[in-house]
Amino acid sequence: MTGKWVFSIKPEFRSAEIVRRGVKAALNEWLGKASDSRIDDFCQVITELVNNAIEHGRCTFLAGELTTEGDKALFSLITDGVSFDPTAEKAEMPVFDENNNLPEGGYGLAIINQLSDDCDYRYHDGKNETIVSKLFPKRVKEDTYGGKS
Amino acid sequence: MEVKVELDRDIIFLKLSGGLVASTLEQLRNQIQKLVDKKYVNIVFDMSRVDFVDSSGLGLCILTARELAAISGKLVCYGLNDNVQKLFKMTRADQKVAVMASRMNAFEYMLSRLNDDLHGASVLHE
Repeated sequence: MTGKWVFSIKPEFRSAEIVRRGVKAALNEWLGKASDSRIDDFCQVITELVNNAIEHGRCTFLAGELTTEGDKALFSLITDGVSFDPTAEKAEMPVFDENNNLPEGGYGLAIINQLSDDCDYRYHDGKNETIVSKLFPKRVKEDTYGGKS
Repeated sequence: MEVKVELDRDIIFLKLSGGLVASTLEQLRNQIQKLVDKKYVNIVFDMSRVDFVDSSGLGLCILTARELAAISGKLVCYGLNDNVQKLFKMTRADQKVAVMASRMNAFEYMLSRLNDDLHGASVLHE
């Protein structure tokens, strides 16, 4: 079964929260569950993607879609602005410095890398497209009688 | 984000609601700065009504903990949901920000710190 949720939104930080809530609601409905830690992980990834596009990409256009196909959820984010390939960057969690301090920034890419199953980037028609995906292998499925198995 | 401020002895409790995310950080940062300006350096974040934290919110927690520590203060967080706890652990923020299970734990932890400070001061006077 496939499903699609499409959006286009003003590129500002509060839009990240709106997108996250929309994706969460769509995935909750798809999985047939009120909460699932994999959905939370995927929403975390999407929030970081949107924040990066606004903060670092300085985009003036922000759109995307969530697609569910089989046991996989794909989220595609399309932006203009600074071309940035998240897959080309080193995405490791920041480490403690010589004074045993943690930096307050630099976590976004590492979170995307760690919590998504796959991340892909392409540049076409003057726009950046970043696609992240996550597998939901044991999702609750509706049977033909509407019950859950 | 909604922020409610409570004072108990010399400990500030900031009751946060909503998302601790990029779009809401400035308000909280300003609130913390005002408290620090008034010499309140022991701050507890009640995060039991925080449903989501992004990397910017996490960064604010790390930065606040570091800045308070530099002026002999402390940041304690409690009431983290599973997702936020996971974020703290994954990024190792839980090694720099004290995370407690309940308000009682957070309060007792802060009180013991304050008592230690008092004891240290009295020892210095002997």
